[in-house]
Amino acid sequence: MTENNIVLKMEKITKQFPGVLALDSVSIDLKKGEVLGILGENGAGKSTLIKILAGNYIKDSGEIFIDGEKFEINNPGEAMASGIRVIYQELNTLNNLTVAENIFIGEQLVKTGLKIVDWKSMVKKSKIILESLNVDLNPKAVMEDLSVSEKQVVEIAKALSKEAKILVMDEPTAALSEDDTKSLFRIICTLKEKGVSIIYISHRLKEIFEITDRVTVLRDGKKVKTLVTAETNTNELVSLMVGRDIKEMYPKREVPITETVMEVKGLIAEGVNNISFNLKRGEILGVFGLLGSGRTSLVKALFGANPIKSGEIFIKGKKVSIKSPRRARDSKIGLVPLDRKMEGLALALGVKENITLANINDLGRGFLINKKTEALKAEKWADSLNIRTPSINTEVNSLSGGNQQKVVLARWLESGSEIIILNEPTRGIDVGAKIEIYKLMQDLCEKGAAIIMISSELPEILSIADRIIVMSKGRFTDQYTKNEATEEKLLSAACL
Amino acid sequence: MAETRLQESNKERKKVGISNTLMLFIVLVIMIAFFGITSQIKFGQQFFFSILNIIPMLSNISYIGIIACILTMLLITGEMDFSIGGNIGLTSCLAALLLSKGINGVLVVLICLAVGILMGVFNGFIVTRLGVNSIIATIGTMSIWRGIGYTLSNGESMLAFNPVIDYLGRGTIFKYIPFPIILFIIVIILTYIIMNRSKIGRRIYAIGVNPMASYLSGTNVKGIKFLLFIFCGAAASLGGLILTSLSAVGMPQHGQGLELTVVSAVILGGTALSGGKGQILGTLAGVLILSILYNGLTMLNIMYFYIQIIRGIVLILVVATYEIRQSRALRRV
Amino acid sequence: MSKTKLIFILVLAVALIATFSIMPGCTTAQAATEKTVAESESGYALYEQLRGYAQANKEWPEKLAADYSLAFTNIMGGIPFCESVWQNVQDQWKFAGGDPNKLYYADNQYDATMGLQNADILLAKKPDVFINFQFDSKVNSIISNKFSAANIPIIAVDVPTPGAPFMGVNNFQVAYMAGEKAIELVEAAGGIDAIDKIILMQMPSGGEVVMLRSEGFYQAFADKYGADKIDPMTIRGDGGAGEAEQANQALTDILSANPDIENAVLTSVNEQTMSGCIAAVQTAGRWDPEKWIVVTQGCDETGQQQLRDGLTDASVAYFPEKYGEYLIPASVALMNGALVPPFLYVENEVITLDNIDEYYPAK
Repeated sequence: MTENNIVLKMEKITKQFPGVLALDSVSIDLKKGEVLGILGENGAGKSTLIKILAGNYIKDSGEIFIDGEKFEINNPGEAMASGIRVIYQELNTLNNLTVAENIFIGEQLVKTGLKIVDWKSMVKKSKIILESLNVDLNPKAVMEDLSVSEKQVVEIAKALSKEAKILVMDEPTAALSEDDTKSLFRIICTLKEKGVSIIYISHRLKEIFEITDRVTVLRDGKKVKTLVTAETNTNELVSLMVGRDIKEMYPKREVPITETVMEVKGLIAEGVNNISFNLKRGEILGVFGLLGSGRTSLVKALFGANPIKSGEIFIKGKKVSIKSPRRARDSKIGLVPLDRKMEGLALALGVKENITLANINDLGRGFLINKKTEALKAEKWADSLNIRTPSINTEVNSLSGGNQQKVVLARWLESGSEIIILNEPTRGIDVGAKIEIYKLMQDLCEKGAAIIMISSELPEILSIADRIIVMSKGRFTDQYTKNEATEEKLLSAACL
Repeated sequence: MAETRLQESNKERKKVGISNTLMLFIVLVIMIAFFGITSQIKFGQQFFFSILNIIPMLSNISYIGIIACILTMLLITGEMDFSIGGNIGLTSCLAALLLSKGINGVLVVLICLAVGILMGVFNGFIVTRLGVNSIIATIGTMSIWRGIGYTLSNGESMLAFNPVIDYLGRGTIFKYIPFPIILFIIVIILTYIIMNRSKIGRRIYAIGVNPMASYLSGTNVKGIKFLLFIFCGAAASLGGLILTSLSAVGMPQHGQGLELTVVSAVILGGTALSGGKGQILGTLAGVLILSILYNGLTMLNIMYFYIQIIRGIVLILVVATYEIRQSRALRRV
Repeated sequence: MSKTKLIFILVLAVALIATFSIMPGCTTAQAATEKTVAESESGYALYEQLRGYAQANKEWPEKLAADYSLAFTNIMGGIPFCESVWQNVQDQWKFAGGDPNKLYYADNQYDATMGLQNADILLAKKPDVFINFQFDSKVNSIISNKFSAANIPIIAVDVPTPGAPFMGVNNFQVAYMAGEKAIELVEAAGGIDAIDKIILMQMPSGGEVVMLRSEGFYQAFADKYGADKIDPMTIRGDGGAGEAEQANQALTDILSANPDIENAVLTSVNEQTMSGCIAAVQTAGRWDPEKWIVVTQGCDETGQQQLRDGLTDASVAYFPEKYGEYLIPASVALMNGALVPPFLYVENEVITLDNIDEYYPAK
């Protein structure tokens, strides 16, 4: 292959954020008409790299070449002008406009001579674009009536409404069923044939093998290797991704599973439809589901943050009514929420204050806080969970993701929780911290806790959970023991 | 100077709140010195630093200070109460009306405080139970309270002489110290303890920093906000009673525009409108700065229009300084 | 660490205040006014003499104010009427030989709370005389208490202060004059039967004396046509504390409540409220200069303009630009231990388009 074939070259891109070196001298190149996979754990630097390409972040150093010419991308407009289109995981469609309006948003077609929007030609051109993608979609349909995958198609069409040289897709299948994924792949093939180069970001290995020509693996902000997809295999990619052996990455101990501590019968709440399950002491129950499957709604309902419409919850055989997180806490349930910055931590407060947040009442007799008692409690957990912080008075804001997660966990240990719900516990934290969290979870199980772990990371849930329940559209669709479960089974159950 | 300050703030990086408060007290001292000296130069006589000036000034601001301290707690949770001015108007008319009917002074005070609490309950209910934005809700109730004040008084001012009411604003302890100042000091100490030492104070800060995380940690977010609205209602009607006493008149116009004065003092003291940040001592400094600024400038015969301009500039300067310090602290992390 | 620093600063501040306040000459109360109010044989002779100086509108032959200080609060800075009063007080103070640095000023901003606060600040400056121009007569009683406790005489301007000589408008008389002028216009327009309503925009918060400003107007009509005839025709509105906006709203409400008003007589307590009132009638689309008989009071710059624009038919002038000619002689008389008459009424004049240039030549 000659140099001329290279559409995009990013060389030695470095980007520093406060406290984190997000990208450390990363280089990639992209050939005309190829699909380049970028693979990496959460926090490996994939999104940062893409945001630099899209002009959302400015690189600290490094160079970008497009068609061999050096390019400075300082804002999204410049990226657009050089033919770069990005489709993000969160869809940016305007739901009360039509398909055609969304496709041409920001650059509506105008009748020549008049400053009037030319609706007819917008609809006509939308039709042409959609047809070229081999999809059957009415340009006059209103967005909110479309399914998630159809909305995604509109996003792609929007990206193609102006000539696109490079199309970046950031986790496009996170919310898609298997059929939808297949039709997305068909569209990608169509685009490839037209000479569009595609960067495809995912952490689903199966897809990487199916669609990409080459794959670049990132880890902790560094490029590990670029491989030709056909010449590699799952094991090699995983070990490149996590930087160590799978067994080492997901340590799993045998913990005795004893009596049932929690029983849920026919739970119905917003986004949750008739869910029943039980949870035993010492067990890690995995809940797997795609975006929008109702997994987070389930967590909120169990924790009293979403009102329960019907159904019963028994804890240690006793029926409980969990009307608020306060009741959940008093029933010895703890929650490590999905978004630790928005839901988990009071970022501007110290480590100490965050650890004791759920148990302010125990910080001294009567009305006042006994600062000594509080410091002792915080120190105890900082030590036993190995929370790395300069002091317990340090703002949690300045801690790394893994340590922040431990602070949230410490809060529930301090409150004596026996049932701990973890929603995506390892999202956005580095590999070392992940391993620590996994070990910690199993330590807790050993001490008699029961854990519900919601996760969308397949290797994680497959290795850590003792039992896996799969959710789709607010229902449980299937249930597997650790030994039965495979990646394929979970994914197909998640799309039921 | 600049270097030592830099070292200081490096050391105290985590405690931006305290060092901001410190800054305010330094500003306050400089201001006091400035007014003392210029007053001496201009008039050849020390008007500013005299008991004759300081004591009445402090009793005049005590009711503002009491309300500001309580409002600081509410603002830290991220809510707002604009109805305090209307509350004062209503309370003062109600007090004068009850007194004119010959009702016992102690009873009048109790009734007014109870009505203040009811006003707080009403605000709390609208905001926490109906989910109306607190700025909008309390702008609404502000107008309702004042309207009721006008109705009670028929738009007229009413004399309000009564030993109990008189004592509230004009009585003295140890012959020299006015009673409202004592009340103010008690409120400062109480709110300081609440915000810096107590369990509920911790919850208030946590709610302000992250209401969702507090809620998901089992904090009764709505309940605490409700309680603080009630405190605000009670504080405003106590303020209204003090003002009625100071003026010996109940009138519906009492407290007009006061909400903005109080809010500016609280913001000047370093409390963030978005919540989560604020100090009682900062509010104390804010109240003192704004009122001493008015007092000192009026002493110097400065026209009110210029005083307004200067007040605005001071407010913006101080708050801008906070922002600059904040972003510097962030950059250093 | 920082807490100790904080305490240190606090202690420092307190110490600073303490030092200043015990500095010699600071706390020693001004030698209590030793001047015994001389029982002048000729009653108000000194005042009359000084009044003569002041009316000449030039430097007084005797610098009688030289060693004294005077405090003045303005009811609402920025309003033409109040600015004229203040300007004339300053001029006359200078004519009387007063030191401009010893003429203390504060702006009450139509706010009783501020009036109280300002009174306290000015009291701390221990002036020899305090001129109180504050809108709420009842709040003035507490101000009066404070100053009499400090032995400082007060002169009240336009709004009474208990125990103080009153300088300003004889409200009833002015209103009666306005009423008589209005009657003249009513007669010229076809008599009282052609009138639908008589609207009095009042200011209850100003106290009973200010109420006379419109009740006198009513009385003139009642004397002429009889109360039985006038009472059902009369509408009394609360125009607020003398500002345009409140008056505007109040009249808007009255107009909505009385959709059949076509020919009306309208008066208000000052020119600012009247401009609000006229705006209300215009906004309602019911303005016709031929059908509305508008007589107002004050005739400050706003009022003069309204007259020239044909918005008002007549205005009783208070001559605010002459207030100082009463206030300064009275103050200086008090400073010199003489007595001052309990009521110092300004001379008034009904101004119409015909005689306006006589008093206020067009610029």
